Amino acid sequence: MALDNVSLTVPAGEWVFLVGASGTGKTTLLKLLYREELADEGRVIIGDRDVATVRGSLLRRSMGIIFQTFRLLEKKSAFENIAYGAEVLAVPPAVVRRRTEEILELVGLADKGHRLPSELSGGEQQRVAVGRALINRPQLILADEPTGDLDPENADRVIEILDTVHREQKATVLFATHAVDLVNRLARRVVRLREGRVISDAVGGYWVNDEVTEG
Amino acid sequence: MKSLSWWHVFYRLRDAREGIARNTWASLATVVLLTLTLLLFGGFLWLNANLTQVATLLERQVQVRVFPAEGEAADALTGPLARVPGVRSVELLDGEAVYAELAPVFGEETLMNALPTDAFADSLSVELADPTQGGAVVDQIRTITGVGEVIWGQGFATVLYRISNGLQKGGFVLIIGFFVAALLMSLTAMQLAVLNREVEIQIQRWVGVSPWGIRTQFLIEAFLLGLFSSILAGAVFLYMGEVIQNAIASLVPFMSGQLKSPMLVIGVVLVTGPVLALLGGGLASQRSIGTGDR
Repeated sequence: MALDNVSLTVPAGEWVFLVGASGTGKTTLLKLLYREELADEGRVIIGDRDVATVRGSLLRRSMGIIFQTFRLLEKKSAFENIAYGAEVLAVPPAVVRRRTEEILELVGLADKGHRLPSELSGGEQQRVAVGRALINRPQLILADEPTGDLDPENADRVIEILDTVHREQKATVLFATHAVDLVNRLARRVVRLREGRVISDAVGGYWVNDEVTEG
Repeated sequence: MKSLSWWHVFYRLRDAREGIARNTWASLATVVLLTLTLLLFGGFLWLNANLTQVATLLERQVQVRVFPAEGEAADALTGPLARVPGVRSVELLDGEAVYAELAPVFGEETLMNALPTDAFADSLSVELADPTQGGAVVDQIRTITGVGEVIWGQGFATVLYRISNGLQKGGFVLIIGFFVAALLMSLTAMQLAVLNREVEIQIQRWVGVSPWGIRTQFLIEAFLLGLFSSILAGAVFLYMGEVIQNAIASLVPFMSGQLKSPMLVIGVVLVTGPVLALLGGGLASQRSIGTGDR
């Protein structure tokens, strides 16, 4: 059993870190939210909608999902990779173009939009992936270890981008991570999982010596 | 379901074109094999249609011509011939009338060179009840007093008739076989396309494209491959049809103008290619992507 007796309420517009060792259920919790998996028992509610009764595609249109691996299209440029996220939802080309330019600016790649993923560094590739997740202006951002493969500097850039969207668009962010420094520096709500259970939930929490304390 | 916008069609056509270009060799192999299948299928359809035509002509030829013996009157044989079991009808043929009928079709020179001079004497045309049993009936006719020469296709016409009948019966099975082959080909190509675009499919899921929306790209791609194959096969039929018709017309003058035009076959092939490819694409994407909106 990946999760057991988990009960969490996240107000709209909040930033929550999900922390814990590998295999504690962070990814499963996120998967339940974007309906990649369905709960055997209990309910997952987003807004006023029960995830189990909503079509997965409709649910995910209001979400931005980011992973540790970038999963970019190798033969498309950075611009095209970001635009692709909107094009497949049939957003008109002029709107796609405008939004993509804004996103490239936001992720700090305005001058590298024409480059292929192979011509970008790992950090830049992750910023393209983040941009793709943000192109449809999601109200809920689910980030599963997005800084796991990045050096501290690039990890900070990714956090800055998400923080900007969180503040300016009032987006809710659920951020699963191992990065202690990151969690402590931002001092936001931290939910700690162990063996599929929530063992602590502290607002403005610090994560020290594998324990979360009130900030 | 969200209505299909022009932008959607534009993006999907672009993605399908890129997909085909990206898998150049797999796409090329699919087009070649689909074209070959359509050529075989269309070729068979055309052959079958023409065999039916030839069989109809042959059926008319499976008649026995009976010439009276020297000094005998042709009309005196009408009664005895009509009483032979297996004879449906007997018709008295006026030699000059027969010549007048055949000359415009075969040409006077051909008739004079090919047939004996007495071929246009008065004779009797005996229609058989069952063309396949002609041999036994002809043997009986030969025993009638007053009968001279008996001309019959010596079984050749009957053999062709049987072959054409067999082909028509087996044709259905062959057509089904060709359909299955083309379907499998399209299915395999589309499965490869789906495998090659695993990341694209994942991205589309994450941003909220429905399974049907994801499948659209592969269906359009399959349709384009099928359409292209059909056009190729149709062009071959258009060209070869004329070449074959001209060749037959020069070799067998009496068949000139009797062959079925390939246009109907071209029409069938143009529709069949995209339909088969769409079916293959639909099955492959259903298997890989599914239809449930999880």
